[in-house]
Amino acid sequence: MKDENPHFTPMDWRNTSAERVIERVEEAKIVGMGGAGYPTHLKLRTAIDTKTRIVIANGVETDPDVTADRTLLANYGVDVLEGIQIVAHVLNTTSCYLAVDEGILANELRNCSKHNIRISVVAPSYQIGEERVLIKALTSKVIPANSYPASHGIVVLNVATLYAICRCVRDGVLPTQRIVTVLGRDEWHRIGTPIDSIVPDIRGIRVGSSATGHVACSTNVLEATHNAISRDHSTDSLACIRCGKCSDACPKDLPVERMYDEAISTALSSVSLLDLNACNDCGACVVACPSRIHLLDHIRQSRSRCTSMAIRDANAARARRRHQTKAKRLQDRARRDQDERHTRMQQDHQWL
Amino acid sequence: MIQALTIPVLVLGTTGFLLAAVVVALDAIVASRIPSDDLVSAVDDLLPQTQCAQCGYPGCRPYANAVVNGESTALCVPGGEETHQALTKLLDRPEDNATLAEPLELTARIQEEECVGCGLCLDACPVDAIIGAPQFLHTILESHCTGCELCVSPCPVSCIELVEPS
Repeated sequence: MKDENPHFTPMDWRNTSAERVIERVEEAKIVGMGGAGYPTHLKLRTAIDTKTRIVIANGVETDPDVTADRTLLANYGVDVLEGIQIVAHVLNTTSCYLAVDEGILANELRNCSKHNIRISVVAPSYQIGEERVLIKALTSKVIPANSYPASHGIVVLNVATLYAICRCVRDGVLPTQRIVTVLGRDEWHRIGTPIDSIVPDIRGIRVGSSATGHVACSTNVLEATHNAISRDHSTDSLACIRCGKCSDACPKDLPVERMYDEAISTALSSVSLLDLNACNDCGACVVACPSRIHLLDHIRQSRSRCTSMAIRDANAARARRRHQTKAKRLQDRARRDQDERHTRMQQDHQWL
Repeated sequence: MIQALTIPVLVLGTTGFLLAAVVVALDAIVASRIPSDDLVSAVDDLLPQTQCAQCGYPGCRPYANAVVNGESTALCVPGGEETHQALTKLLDRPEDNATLAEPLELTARIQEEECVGCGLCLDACPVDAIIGAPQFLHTILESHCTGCELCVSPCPVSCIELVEPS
């Protein structure tokens, strides 16, 4: 960690009200650092009113060649554990979980944990880092797809977020830095640093992991949710050999191979939109592809194409509706005018 | 040897021919069953609904009607080549050599210092995207404007221009 000065006054959170702690989290503008960037104070406020409250710390790393969370746990595990306690204190609960994917790491953390935080080792599978899957693995609860876990009282927070919560509540330090895996090495970097000043040559670089990140461009800066800067393996990708490994690897059983075909052709069928929206960008297909094709890039492109097509269709439908309304109005007015003229003419006849 | 082959060849050949005839007949029946009104709607759905009348017909629906009755599919300017291809494919017309330019996505905007409030553009707009009252400044709802250019020529002070959408 680089030099940092406290921005707030350090807080004795054990003797502070939950609302005051949440206000501090809100003032520090902490967002989920796992990927989605959802404001943490909103998540806490949603969960605080529910019946069952569970805190789950997500320390599972599923992306290839990213080790930022593991390094954070190995070096700052005590702070992360205190972060879990702070959130447990806010939610007034005792059921806390910390999920990690390495047995050695779990043992180390168990040694320094004197609290009732259940540290569980989950089998490293590609999908387990996704919060719903993790919730099911740890608590065997199934969260419906149309609601967020926080509204069921389950708060899943990335370990980097918990570290940020601990530092800003306990020490009053603003979360201005995060651990980033830069081409295999874990380093602290300030959020907002231009990517090309971290890695001088950004050609063939992805912001994020090599599977789920996007291709870096010169205007990119490091965001709170970026846990890695990796090499792009798809720059020298080969032709698709129709092995079907992408479809087999997909945790949602999507027809990835067919989606790729549609993405590189011009036609997008209506079925593919459902598949595109079902994909949660986990990147398992990218890892599986022996030709190093970045399938997720193609899926994202077709998704944005579908979205712009949907916007265009909606605009066309509205224009047609308004055109029909106007035509009907003009027709009605013409008929009314004619009727009026008719009656007036008849009245004129009466006068004569 | 030849005799042994004759019967299978004849049987398979005849069956194949009969099945092909059935398929062709069914296809023709299905094709003739599509009512013309549905076809006009299908063509209308492919058109961009700008109602710009650049095809020479007073709106997209009339043009769709004309296309079904044999008008060229290459007249829709805002639809561009994509619409042209889609229409050709839908109606199963032979490929023509016309290639349309990439359509520009523009919206109309009134220069507020110059508008005199005459209201002539109100009548011209096919989608009611202009609002204003007599002798007052008129304005265009950008989200509703289709960029049809029909309001440009009626303006007596030439204060309407087409710009890139913001």
